[in-house]
Amino acid sequence: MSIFDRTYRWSLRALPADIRDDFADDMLQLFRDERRRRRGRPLALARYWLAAVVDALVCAVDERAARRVPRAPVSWRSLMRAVMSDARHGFRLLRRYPSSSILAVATLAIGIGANTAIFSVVDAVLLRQLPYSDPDRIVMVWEKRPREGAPQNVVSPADYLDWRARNTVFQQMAAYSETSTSIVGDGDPVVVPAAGVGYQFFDLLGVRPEVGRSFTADDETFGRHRVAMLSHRIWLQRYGSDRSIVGRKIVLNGNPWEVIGVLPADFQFIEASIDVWSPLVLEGTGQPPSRTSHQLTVYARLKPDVSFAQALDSMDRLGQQLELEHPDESRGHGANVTSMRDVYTKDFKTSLTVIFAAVGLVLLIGCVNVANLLMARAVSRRREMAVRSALGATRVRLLTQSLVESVALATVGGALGVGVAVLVMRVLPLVLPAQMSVVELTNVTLDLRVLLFAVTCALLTGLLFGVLPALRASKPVVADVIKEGGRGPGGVRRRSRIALIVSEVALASLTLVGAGLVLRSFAAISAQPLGVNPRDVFTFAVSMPVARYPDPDARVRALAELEQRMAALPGVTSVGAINLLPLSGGDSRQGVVIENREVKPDDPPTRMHPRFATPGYFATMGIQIVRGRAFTPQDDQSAQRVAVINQTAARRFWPNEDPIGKHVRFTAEEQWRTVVGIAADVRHWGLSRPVNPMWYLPQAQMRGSFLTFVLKSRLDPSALAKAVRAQVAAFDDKLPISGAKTMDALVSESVRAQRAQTVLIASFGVLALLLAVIGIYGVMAQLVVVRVHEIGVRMTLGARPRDVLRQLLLEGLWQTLAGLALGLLAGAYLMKLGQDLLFETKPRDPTTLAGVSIVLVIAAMAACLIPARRAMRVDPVVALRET
Amino acid sequence: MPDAREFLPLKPLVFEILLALGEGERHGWSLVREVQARGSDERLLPANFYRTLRAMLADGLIAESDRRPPADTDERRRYFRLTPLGRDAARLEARRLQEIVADARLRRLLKAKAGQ
Repeated sequence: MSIFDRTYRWSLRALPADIRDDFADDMLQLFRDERRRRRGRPLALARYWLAAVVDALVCAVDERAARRVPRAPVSWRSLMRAVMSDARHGFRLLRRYPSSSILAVATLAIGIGANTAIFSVVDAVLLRQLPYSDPDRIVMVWEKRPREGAPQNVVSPADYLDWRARNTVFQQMAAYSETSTSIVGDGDPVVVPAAGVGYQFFDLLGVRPEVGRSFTADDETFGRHRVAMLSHRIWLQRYGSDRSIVGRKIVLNGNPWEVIGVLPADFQFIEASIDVWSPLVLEGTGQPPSRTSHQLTVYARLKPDVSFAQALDSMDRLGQQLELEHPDESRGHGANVTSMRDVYTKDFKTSLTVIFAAVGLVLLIGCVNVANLLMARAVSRRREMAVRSALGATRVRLLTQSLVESVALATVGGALGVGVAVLVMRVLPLVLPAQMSVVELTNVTLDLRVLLFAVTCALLTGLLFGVLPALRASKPVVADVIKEGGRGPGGVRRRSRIALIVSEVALASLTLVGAGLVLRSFAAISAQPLGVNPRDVFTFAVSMPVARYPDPDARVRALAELEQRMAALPGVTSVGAINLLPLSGGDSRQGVVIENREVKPDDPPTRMHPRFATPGYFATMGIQIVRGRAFTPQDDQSAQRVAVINQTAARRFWPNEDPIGKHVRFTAEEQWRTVVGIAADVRHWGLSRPVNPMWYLPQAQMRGSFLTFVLKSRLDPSALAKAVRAQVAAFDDKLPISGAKTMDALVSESVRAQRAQTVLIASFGVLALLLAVIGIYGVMAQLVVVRVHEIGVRMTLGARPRDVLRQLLLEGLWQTLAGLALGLLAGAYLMKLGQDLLFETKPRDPTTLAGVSIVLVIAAMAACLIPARRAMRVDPVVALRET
Repeated sequence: MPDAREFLPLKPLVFEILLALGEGERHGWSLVREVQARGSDERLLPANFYRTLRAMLADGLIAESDRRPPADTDERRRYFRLTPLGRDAARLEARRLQEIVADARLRRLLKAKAGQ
């Protein structure tokens, strides 16, 4: 019999008994006949099936309504009295079986609470609109390089200016570029994150300043550009929310800038820490805007009548045109448009979805546990129901009681769930990034709708598994049940019991596989060689303000003197400096020319990431020089220009030869530099990111005005920080330092996101396992109670306790294995969806699958063992007498 | 006896059943087949069908028949036949429909059949 026939027959049960007796067979036959006529047309078949089922139910309601005997009107008061008494009875029952009730309520509370908290985050980060006016019309415009597989590359100033001037599809377009600035005056000198933006930036987002004005086109004119907008935070903390700050001059990077406005307190941005905003000046600076240095993020707002597809198309054409106009610089470059929201949520989409799926599974397991409890209770109360029914309780009354009980469970679970949710929200900041997209985690509030949703799930579970058995129990042939002594032939049907265990194991194994995979992946990430030894290394950055040190030589001399002062600090064993520290987020990349290397026109451009380092840098950071030498103090302005490359550069650009002694130059320069050494690869961009070709150049020859110092010292970092500050202040008390922290802290921050998701998913895995074990234990314990009589008989007939134990354990084992198979099978398909989260770990990693299987089987067997041992100790005499 | 006119207009399914029984007694199942064969109702829904049958029994449009073909040995099969009331109702309905069709022809919604 097909599933359609079966469900249809089931729906016929709704009809009054006499109609059923007369016609049910004919109806079923007619249904089957009609179904066959629709064979091969699944849609028509499904439609007919639905219509037939609805038809049967409608008929049932009609017929029953027609037969209804008018009854004495029920007064509200008597109804309420009945419900109240049922409620009291329900809570009394919950109290009578305290341990199982507590388990069920606790399971529900955890499931509901965790889901509410996690979904609140998911909603705030992924589902809600970005906090700008008409956010769906805001897009981001990128440079695309199809040949390099880079669809979203940052943009060169020249391209941006051309796009802005020549596009026909955007109302506004504004670039964004992050930097930092020192502030001197009105307190300690500090370095704060800053950003340069196109003048339309805030108009584009629809953000109005709280005080003062936004940027105008005129502010981009070089010479009139020294105007700044402040964040609400720094306005409050440094300037005491003084409204007269507008129009005042403050000293930024050593120059006076006029404050023209303050952003509102509720302004949110993906980089929340930006304190100073200034206009991005790209023209009129004496140098033409570069087409080869790529650094800008570009935002734009679509014109009202332009669709996203039109914008994409139009920008694509503009990109092609620019490629033709500038074949040297823009070869293989185009323009690409993406939605702002996609870019902002990209990093969090997979991980949050996976975490949400994990808590969803936990809630499901919780619901299965509640179902289990209620069904067990329905069995043990068959007798009570029968007696009450014999004493004249109506069926409705009996049903109401189960209903009230289920509602009581769900209500208590939901109420406690709120508490759990609040707790989880407190814990989340420890593991989740502080800011996701534009959302700061501390601003996320619990979502009432989700709470309602989770409580509804619990209620439905309660109704389904509490009321259905009651429906069956309330209609027994009363005398039989009373005779049976409330222990029906197997109580809850065997099939439902197996289904419960199998689904618990399946759900738990699915969660555990996920947890296992992220753990493996995190282990793989942690095992990656960083390439530096972060131990006992303290870092801080100094930027020499050009305004106060206009002479480049003076800047270089000052930085060199600072390095010497650091080396002289007591307890410091070695010192070095570099312009861009690994894992600090800073980076730059430039085109290079390698001598005697043939470049075909269609090759991707040859690029390396330049780093300016002092001689002490390699030793202090523990970066191994695998060939040749590091820098020496002799590699200065007067000496030969030299470079140290990393292993990746050596492999890529000199695959079959010795790079030492070879020559390299920047594309933009004529000066050749000689490779003198090869340094071990350093994971500059993070442990899970690939290493790119990099070359180190002596700071003495490159003369950068910004350096991050690294100090090796056994001293306590805070004491060291104090000594460093004092030493810098002694050199120049208007020189701010920034980024003072240990290298260990940097490493730990760099894996923070991965650690977060690992901890979260792993804890939900453990939780799922725990709940499943509780559930399996509950089912098995109930099974033993139900089968005491049978066990007694078998023992009387000569079965040894060991046989009883073995049989029960075997039964449990088979069901566990079935659930495991289901869970692993589902996992094999579902885990592919979360593949993005995994680092060097396959979604069907055999070690994980085997590990999960072993853990689950052991846990399930342990859960079965306690009730099975109880069965072993059944005294046949007692068991037989009791029944 | 109630007036057959009270039942007009007949529901299409009722009319179909009356027509099917016009040729003689039938059991429920072959009745279904007959109605299906006419193909007038694309979706024959079981519960509705048998409910209609019951209602027709109760209204006296049809009646259960004790006579059955000698070939049928299945005891459980219930046979139905037209009552005089049912025959009247069917006839009145047919006439009513005929008048409607004639009207439609008059208004040139339908072409007159050749020979008429």
